[in-house]
Amino acid sequence: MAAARLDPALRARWESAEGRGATGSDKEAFEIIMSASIGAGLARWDAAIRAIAQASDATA
Amino acid sequence: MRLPEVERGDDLRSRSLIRLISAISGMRLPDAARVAFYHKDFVGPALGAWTQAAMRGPSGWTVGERELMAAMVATWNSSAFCIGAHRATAVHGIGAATVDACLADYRTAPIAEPLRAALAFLETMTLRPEELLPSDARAAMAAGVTRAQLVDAAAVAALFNIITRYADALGFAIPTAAEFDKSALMLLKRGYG
Repeated sequence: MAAARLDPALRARWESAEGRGATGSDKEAFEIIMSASIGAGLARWDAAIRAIAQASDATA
Repeated sequence: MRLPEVERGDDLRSRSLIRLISAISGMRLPDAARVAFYHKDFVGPALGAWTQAAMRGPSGWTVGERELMAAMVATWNSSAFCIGAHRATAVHGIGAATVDACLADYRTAPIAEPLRAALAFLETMTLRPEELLPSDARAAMAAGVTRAQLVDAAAVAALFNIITRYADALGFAIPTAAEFDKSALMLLKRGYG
């Protein structure tokens, strides 16, 4: 099994004291985490919809 | 990384709700619900509406099958919170023995062939999305999955590729088995909205 991982460099930055200062607040850190997660999910959604559409085109 | 503001709520209403629901349910409100209450003017409402539609809306898959798909994505992504939460919910629809057999190896589990074929599609989508091809979709459809069912399954997997990531990045606390069971009943009764 491969663990779902956010970018390790970003994660390390958030977890460091410097990173917390750079992100500024819990709300901003939350937005970064949610944005990265949504990007990973939507990339997979795009891949799936593309594969399904192309499969349907070929059988139409 | 746990964010203290998500833990306690970011306004008086959220803090009161977290305390009230925890008191009424007799257990700590799970972090998944705390995230839903937090920073509501960001992505929460849209993500919640999509999740409710994918998990509880009209579909060629039962609620139990969709919960199983969520648990499978969580397994492939090694997300302990999501495995526990969605395993506990799926067992109410398709039984603990079948769910656990799937989590161990869906290829040999006693499930219908269309569900097995959909899970194969979702596994590649989750772990190797760059390798997902029209032939993967055709293989699922050849096993009896309709196009609409495959789109519905992909929506579940896309959502749980989002949810597993933020659950782990935000360091969701892991409830006990009894708490997962209690939360599962709430999730079945109230949904994700």
